[in-house]
Amino acid sequence: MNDTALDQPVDIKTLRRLHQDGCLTDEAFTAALRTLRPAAVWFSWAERNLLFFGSALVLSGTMFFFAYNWSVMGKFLKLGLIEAGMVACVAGSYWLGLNKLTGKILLLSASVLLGVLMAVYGQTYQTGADAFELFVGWAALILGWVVVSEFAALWFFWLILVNTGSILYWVQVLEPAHSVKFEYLCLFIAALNGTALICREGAVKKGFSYLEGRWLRAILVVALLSALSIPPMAIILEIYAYSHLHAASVASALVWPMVALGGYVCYRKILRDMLTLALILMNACLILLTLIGKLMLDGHHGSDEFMFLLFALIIIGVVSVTAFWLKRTAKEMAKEIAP
Amino acid sequence: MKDTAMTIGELLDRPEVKHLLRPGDVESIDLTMSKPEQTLKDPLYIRILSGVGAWFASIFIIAFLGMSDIITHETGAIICGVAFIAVTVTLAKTCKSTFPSQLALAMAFAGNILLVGGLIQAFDHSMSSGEVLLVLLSSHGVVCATIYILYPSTVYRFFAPLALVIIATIWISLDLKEFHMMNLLLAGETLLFGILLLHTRRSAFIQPLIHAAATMLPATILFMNLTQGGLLDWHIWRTVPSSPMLPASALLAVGMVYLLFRLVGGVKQYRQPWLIVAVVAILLLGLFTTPGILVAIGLLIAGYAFGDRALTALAYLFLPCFLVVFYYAMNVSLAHKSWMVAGSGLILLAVRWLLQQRASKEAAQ
Repeated sequence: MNDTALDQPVDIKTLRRLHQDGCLTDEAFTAALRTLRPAAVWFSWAERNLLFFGSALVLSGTMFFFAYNWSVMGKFLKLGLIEAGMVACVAGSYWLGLNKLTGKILLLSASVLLGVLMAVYGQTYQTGADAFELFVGWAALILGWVVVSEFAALWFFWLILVNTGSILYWVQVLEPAHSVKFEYLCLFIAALNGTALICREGAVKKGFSYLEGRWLRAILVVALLSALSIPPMAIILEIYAYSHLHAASVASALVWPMVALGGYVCYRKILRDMLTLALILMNACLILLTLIGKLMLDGHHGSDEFMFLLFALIIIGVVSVTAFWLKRTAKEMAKEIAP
Repeated sequence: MKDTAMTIGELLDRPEVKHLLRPGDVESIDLTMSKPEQTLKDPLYIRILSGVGAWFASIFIIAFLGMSDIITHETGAIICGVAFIAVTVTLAKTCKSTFPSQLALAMAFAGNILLVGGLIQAFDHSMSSGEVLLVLLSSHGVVCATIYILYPSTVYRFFAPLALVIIATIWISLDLKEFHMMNLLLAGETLLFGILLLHTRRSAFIQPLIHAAATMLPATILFMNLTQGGLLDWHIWRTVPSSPMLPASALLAVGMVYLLFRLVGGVKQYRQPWLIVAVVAILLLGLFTTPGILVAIGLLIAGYAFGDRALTALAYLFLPCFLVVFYYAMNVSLAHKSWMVAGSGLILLAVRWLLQQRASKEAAQ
């Protein structure tokens, strides 16, 4: 065999392409498929995904079950059932060990059940607690499990709880008292997710491989940029009258370009991740186009239809420049990474 | 555990594959692999950026035409639409740089909307709203198919077929108001996805349509659940089924069993114990669970089997969204839903346990 095209690495996609092109008979294709992806690989994949999906569904079903507010079940039975489930999950996790995926999933299940227990407790005894207390308490109580679990999904779940608790705290306590402005909430949420992102990057550098998944980085970047984009967007769209603009609005709007620029430099030069760069540039495009659109179209009536055409061309231009930049950067980065 | 890492040459040299190759197969594989890809596909994030940008640009182009009185009459809209499509095709054939490509995409969206809008205006005077929607559906079908063939943009080829399903859904929900018609739509989508996935060459021409078909399924399921429940307070159906959508579940289960048999190499493999377990589990889910869970599992299997990470990501994204929406579906009580969801989870965990037992037995032997 010559050593040109046949030296390319083979994957499932390539194999299917060759089969569909008629280069491989059904029998040869099946045999090649079995060689490339033997039954053991399929089983390993199925085992992992059945565990993820199965556990997610059982936990969701349990939440649905207790949300039904059963009148035929006594409070001790309800609380006892949840506690028993929780204890069983923790014991199972301890018995199997946290180095196994099943052990980690059981600890995640125990963490979810703890929240269900707190919710049912609040429902049964009508404690009068605000919703934010449930989330903050829940996050505080499971923190120990989160730390020992070495499981990215549990860390992510914990971050969702902290984010939700913080937003609810602002909605239920700070906003009614007018004591803290909305921009500070945005800054706090951005700081929270930004800190999580920095910790994640630091941990990966130190060898905590369980946090390596790029999905976690992407979600944290989106959360950080979304929170930071709200103050500048509010100023651009004049959600607050300019006379009501205060130092907090302007200061928080100024944080966005600094973080976006810092993020770009970091993920371009140090950590080299195209997906994150694309997210940052898309976010910048959104804010830039909103600003241009506002300046061009706001207050124009009647004969200014050409402004719409011009704005359409500007959108196409900005998106084209961004796409061109991303493609060029991807090529450069590929060269830099290649040995 | 990952797929075995090897080159095409190494794979073809393996004895279990080598003896099944026909004379000339190696040469034809070499030739096929030497050919460049049909089209150089941009990464997903660039396609999303292009699609969203072009969509907004097309809205402003149409706003400009509307405000400047160019498309006040149907003839103007139709002429503009055809002209835009012609410009799109010309740009796509002559220019490969980024700005003309982006302009072509925006013109394709705008041209499609203008042409279909013009046709609707032309028929609008003498028709009921239901008939207008039917004309909209068929005219978009024809326009979309024409542009799909002429204009090789993965972004257009993904979005335009999706619009077809959105129009069909609007027609069913606003005019027919029969919830069971949604089951028919779902059947059509399942069939389309299955045929495209299993019976076509997954070429650059078909690939966006496969992704569009894969997106249609979860979107339709979410719509079906949203409109049954109190989440959006929509009351659009004449009657809402009180049971959780058995026809759709049964249909999806049959589709998944077919997918499994195709993946393992046909019906002749039916004696494989793990296949029997998988088929029984899917049939049980078909009787027991809600279509959303089946769609998520189906997408997950298809994504892994075909090495398509977009389908896998869609499955993982869809499952939590579905569970949240399903929680608020008011036609089924929370108690019933809890049995369905937890039961489905238990079935999956039971399958996992059986697979583990078999694996440990094999390891012992």
